[in-house]
Amino acid sequence: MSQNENDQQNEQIRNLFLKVENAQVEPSAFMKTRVLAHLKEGQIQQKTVRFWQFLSVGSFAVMILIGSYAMYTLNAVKNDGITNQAYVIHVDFNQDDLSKVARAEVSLPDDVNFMSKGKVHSLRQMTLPVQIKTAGRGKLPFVVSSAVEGEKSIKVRLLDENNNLVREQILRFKFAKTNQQVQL
Amino acid sequence: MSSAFKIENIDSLIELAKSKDPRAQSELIVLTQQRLFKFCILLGNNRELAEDLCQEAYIKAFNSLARLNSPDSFYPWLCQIAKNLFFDIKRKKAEVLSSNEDQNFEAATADRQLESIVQVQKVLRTFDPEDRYLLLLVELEGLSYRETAEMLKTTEDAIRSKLHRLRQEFVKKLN
Repeated sequence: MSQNENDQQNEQIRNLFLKVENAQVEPSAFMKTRVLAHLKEGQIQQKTVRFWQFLSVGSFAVMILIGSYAMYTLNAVKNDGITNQAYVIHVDFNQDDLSKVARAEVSLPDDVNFMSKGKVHSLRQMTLPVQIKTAGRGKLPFVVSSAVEGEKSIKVRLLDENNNLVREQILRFKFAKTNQQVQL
Repeated sequence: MSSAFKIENIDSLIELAKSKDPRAQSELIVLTQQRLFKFCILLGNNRELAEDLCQEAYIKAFNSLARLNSPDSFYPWLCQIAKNLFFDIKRKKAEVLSSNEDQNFEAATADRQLESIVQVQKVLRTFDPEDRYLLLLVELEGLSYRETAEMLKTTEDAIRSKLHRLRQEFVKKLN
């Protein structure tokens, strides 16, 4: 084929496709509506999935928070008292501890003292034997007092026969100057 | 890629459509639908199929618009999505498509300005779909050899040589 024939052929095709380009042909008016509706539906579905994901993650987080709070409150027993008065503190043990715990090491903060027979002792730490009740529960009573108001943390370490730690417990005790200040 | 078919202010429309703005999506459809529809009619040889291809191509494009690198590539990208959809359908329903190729469009084409479409359609239907796609990219969409080669992942020389043969064949069948 000569160059001239080739050009003519290309020209013929070009002219035909130009007519095609200029022809007015459109898809149905509903095509756009269907596309937009489909896209919107997809977005709603995505939002619904995200909402349920958020809800499941959120409820899981709430459960963890509640669990953590429950653990914290179980480990930290809160008590209240008035300054310069003697208080007997009982530490209860659960059934598992009973078979293991032989003694408890009680550590006091600076402003709190052990009391015995109406006298204040200067010891900051004391190791006490754990008495076993016939009912099957352990009992650890000790007496403390404080001249300074405020919240105090008493650390109790439960030890076995070989002085290995079984469990540690923090007791929070809030002292106030008058009865009115005591939180009940 | 710079297509011969350029849309004014498409950058901002694409950005808005990426954030799922329905007005931008609607505007992009309005700007491209006539051209894409014509492309699909000539590619698929069936008006109903062309409408389905357009619809699915827009949905697919808008759902993966974040992957579009350049706003200028939007329309060629749409064509490519429509072509892939068509080839998928053709693979799955070859016998349905061949028996259904498009008497209804010809019958409905009373308008004289649509004669050219029917004329091209009649010739294109005799070509292999891959060759049909190549002819449409160059002759209808006005893509250069370089752009076409990039799109089809081949060389310019290969495109030039193939087009020479296809054009000869096209004119022969046309006459």
